[in-house]
Amino acid sequence: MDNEAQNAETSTSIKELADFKYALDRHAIVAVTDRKGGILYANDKFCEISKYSLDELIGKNHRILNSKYHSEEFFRDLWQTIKSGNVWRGDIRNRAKDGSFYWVDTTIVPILDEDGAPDRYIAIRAVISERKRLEEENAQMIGDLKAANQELADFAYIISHDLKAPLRGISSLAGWLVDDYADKLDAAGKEKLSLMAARVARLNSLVDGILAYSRAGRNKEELILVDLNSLIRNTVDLLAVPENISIEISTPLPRIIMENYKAQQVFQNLISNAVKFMDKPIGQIKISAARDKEYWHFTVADNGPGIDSKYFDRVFELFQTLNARDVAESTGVGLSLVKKIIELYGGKVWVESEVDVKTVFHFTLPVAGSVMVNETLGGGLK
Amino acid sequence: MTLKNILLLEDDDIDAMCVRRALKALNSNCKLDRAENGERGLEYLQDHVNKRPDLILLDINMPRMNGIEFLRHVKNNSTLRSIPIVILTTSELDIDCCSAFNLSVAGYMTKPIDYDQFVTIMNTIINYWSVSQLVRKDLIING
Repeated sequence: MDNEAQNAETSTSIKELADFKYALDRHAIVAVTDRKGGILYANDKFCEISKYSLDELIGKNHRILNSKYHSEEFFRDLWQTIKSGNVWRGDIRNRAKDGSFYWVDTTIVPILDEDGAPDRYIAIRAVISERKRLEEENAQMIGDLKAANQELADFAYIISHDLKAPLRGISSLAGWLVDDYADKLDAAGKEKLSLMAARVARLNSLVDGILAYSRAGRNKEELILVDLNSLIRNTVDLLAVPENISIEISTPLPRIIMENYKAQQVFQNLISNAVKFMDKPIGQIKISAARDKEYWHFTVADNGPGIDSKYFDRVFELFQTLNARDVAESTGVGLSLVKKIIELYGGKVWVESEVDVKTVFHFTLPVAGSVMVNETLGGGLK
Repeated sequence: MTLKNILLLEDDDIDAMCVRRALKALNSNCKLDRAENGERGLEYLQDHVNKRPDLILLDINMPRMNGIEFLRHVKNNSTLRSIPIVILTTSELDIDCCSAFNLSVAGYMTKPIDYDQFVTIMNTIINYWSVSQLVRKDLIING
């Protein structure tokens, strides 16, 4: 190639490099230091952020920016890395001229001489103070949340002991009164005592329901591949369903990754509700699943009394029952527990119904089966 | 081999009544002595006037010295360590169950709300410990 062509090529390269440098200076703090950390070059952004003028920086050691946040070990490790010719990347808190602090995402690149030893260092930094502040806030919130969780767990522990003990006492005494004083009690008297025992049993279910509801968000179980077909069969066995009600799985159910106990609670509550409220001589409960993009869409349908559309939202609220609690022993916790669990997994639950004809509970669960609950929350008793 | 003496550690009067009543309902000739908390329980065990119990029924939640602490004391004592202890408690929580088994309890039963179920549980306990061999009091277990 002749001189003219070579010069042209060199000019193009120089222009390209100048463009790169221009762009880089817009984004990053750039500095070049000698082997000992003495500042040889600093770009405008460096001056802008550190609030030092170029004169105040050139020739000084980079140490003037030390904010005393990082340990000796931290810097020893940094120097060891770059002295051996390797690139170092990390977050550093620096101190500006006015004493304020700023965080920078830093990359330090050693430039080697002909012998392969570092001759100078180029440091490229991006200011991340805002992000760091948010990270700290986040950590604080997580800490608070963990503490609140622990308090809730302790509270639940106390409830399970101190509420249940007197319940047991009352229940036992009611039974003993009937046994020991049967000849002295008329039918009305026995009736009252039996009502008392029933109230106690209800209170006990309520306490269990509240505990289950409060535990649902906190207890983290192992995620396993749950075979819903066998889970439903087991659930049905446990429920002691009366002869006149049939429970059918109308489409094969998938296997999903979920906490086994929570899967059980969802289906158990839905199926037991359908059984409990069944008002037809021949009861039919059908369970199905269909794939809907990245979700599984489940339905639990029954031919029971149905729900008026104006109650469609209310049924999922905690402690809401549609009948007087005496009519059907109901704590009003079941459906809200189902909703809580489904939503924990990122799914939705809703109901459609025709009064006197049928009710269909719908819920979705993501196919990937990923648990969306923040992994860092942990906590709880388990 | 029948159970002759049971020591019950229970702070709740009605729960204690439950045990007594259940024993009667089962026509057991077992003598039942009761201590209201861990401290009293230890006093009872260390008093030579009292016969050494064949079985200890222990509630975990008691004031002053709770069940787990009592358990620790007994298992550290070379003469008392061999008495079988069955936990009878409200707590279904794993953490209590674990601590109890780690301290070598022989059994862990949760008290049901229903009294009849309770009688069934007591029946099982009595039957089991009537059959299972008990350690003679003069044997001291080392280790």
